[in-house]
Amino acid sequence: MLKIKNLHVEVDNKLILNGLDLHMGTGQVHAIMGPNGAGKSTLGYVLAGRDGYQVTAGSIEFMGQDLLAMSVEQRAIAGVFLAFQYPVAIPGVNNSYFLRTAVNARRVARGEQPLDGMSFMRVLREQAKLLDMDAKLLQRSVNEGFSGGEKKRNEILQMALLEPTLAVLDETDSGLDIDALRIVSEGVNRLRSTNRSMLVITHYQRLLEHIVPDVVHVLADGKIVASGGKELALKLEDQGYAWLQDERESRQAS
Amino acid sequence: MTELLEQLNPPQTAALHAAQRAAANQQLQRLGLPDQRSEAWKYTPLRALSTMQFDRSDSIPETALRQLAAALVEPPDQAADDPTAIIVIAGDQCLLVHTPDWVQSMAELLRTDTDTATGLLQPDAQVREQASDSFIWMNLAQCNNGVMIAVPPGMKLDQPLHIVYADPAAASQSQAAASANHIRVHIHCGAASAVTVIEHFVHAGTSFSNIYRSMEVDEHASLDLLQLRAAGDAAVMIEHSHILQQASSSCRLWALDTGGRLSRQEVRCALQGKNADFAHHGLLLGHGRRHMDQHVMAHHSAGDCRSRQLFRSVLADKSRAVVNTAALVGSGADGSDVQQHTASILLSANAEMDAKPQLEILADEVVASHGATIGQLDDDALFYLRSRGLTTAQARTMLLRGFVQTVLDTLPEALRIAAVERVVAAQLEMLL
Repeated sequence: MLKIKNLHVEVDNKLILNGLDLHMGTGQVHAIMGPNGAGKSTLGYVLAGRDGYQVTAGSIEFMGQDLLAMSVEQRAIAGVFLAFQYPVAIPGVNNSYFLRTAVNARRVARGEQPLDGMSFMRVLREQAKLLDMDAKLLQRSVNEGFSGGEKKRNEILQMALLEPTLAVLDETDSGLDIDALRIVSEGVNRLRSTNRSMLVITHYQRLLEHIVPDVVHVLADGKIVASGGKELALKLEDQGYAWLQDERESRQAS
Repeated sequence: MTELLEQLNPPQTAALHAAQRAAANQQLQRLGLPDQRSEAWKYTPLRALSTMQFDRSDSIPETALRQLAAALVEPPDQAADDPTAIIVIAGDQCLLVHTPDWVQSMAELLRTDTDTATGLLQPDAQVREQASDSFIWMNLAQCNNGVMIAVPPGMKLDQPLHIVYADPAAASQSQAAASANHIRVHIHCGAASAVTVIEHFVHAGTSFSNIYRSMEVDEHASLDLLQLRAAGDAAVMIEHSHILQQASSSCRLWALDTGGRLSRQEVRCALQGKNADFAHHGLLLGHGRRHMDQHVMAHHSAGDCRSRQLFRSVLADKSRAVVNTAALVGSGADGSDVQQHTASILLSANAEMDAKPQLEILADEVVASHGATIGQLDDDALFYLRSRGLTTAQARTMLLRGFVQTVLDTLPEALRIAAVERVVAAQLEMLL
């Protein structure tokens, strides 16, 4: 489903990802953990196609296609979804109008009939209810004046509506209290499916108690330095990231 | 610029008015036309105007004027009893369609009702104080068209009144000679009356419109005025709007401006009675080489009045806008509440925005705020929308829509008309 090979990425001429390799199978949930500045968010942005992230070497293959050759919107249509760490507020743009435009952009690009206002509102209300989201938020401007938790719910709502093949969740737990974390995680878990893969980027193990990953990777200094099962996350929580550094140094020494 | 002044020929007028016109003309000749050395005209060259050659244009057939009105103004709801009242002002013709008897053509007044016309050819107190507005003196000397609306006290109108300003080219759909028109508009809202006026500017050829508008809003009366300026590339519009507000009155203006070769409006509002509300909302959408000016001054001389000045501008290509928001809170006008906000998006490196917020406060207890921002479309927001599958064009349109919506959201129900949507949609498409 996703094959990242030897990925090198520069931002403002500074090397952030330095030979990252990652393979994900269909229906799998992978977690990426790592210290601040390791390049976790950069990986999310590169997958989504943000400007300013220059790929200097390596490749990304998504569903057999060259992802790096595609525009931001082509990737979205093809099924890549990034849940933002800091969702952007868009004053003056009605949230449900934005959501419908996004859903219909995808439907039309795939040769499907666009949803009319009524049918869309039905789907929208249903999904919002599952996320325990106040219906008023659907009629407000996109993310404007939303609390941290409301913004994250709005991200998961978009994910539910856009039904991606690959969802990248960038620090979805940041800024959430315990209740919001549970609701958002439940929302994500409902969307787990055999034909949907998820890449969960997080700083803390606590999110992974709710969204249990199949594979955990540790990203440090721009590459994956360790991979394992969910117990790896527990070990990181327990011992921090320092032991990895020691291990790598001793490996390099031998 | 003297060429322009030499081209002016006062229209035929009653003998009584002749002396007044001569005095106004003298004032105009003494002042000359403003140039960029004066602060108010610093960013506004008058080249487009000074190179115009005017002809007396042929009169337009009445059927053409009626067609013009019908095309612009939607018929009222089936449920409504009254047909839409429309005033068409084109060249030196004024056509009144379904208007009540308190709406009178200025041309007609100049011919018949001497006293009222004499009054309207006098400068108001604000002009006399300033004495520097050449174009107002020009208007008084040359006035050849216009309308007087005197809403009786207590009268509340459900349907808006429409005023259509057109040139011969717009009416005949063909290129006609350049025309110069000096239009006098007077709106008097009697105590506790309520009226909504919609102005449509549809000049299609080369034209110069010099409009002097005076509006008096008496106690507890309310006036809503929407200006839809969607003229052609060769239209020059220079306008002065003077507002006089009494206690507990409300006056709200919306200037939806897509410009012309040059479009400029100076608004001066005198808040003379306590607890009055004044609001001016501007939405300036420029493309090509269009130039738009809005200069607004709210003068609080009584206490407990509110003034709002809200502007959104989007400028593409080599277009330019000047937004000057000012408020003067006189001594003793305690309890005044003043807000000014101007935000602009430049879509091109060659577009230019000159914003000048000004506050002068001489009273003690006042709430006042002002702010101005100028920027580009937000890259983060563009990326966010594209990452949800919107094309770049869709994303840009959506962001601009959101940006202008702030102003459109302030429109009351009566002004949420299809023509607004038409002008905004067409212009946003042009900008992107």
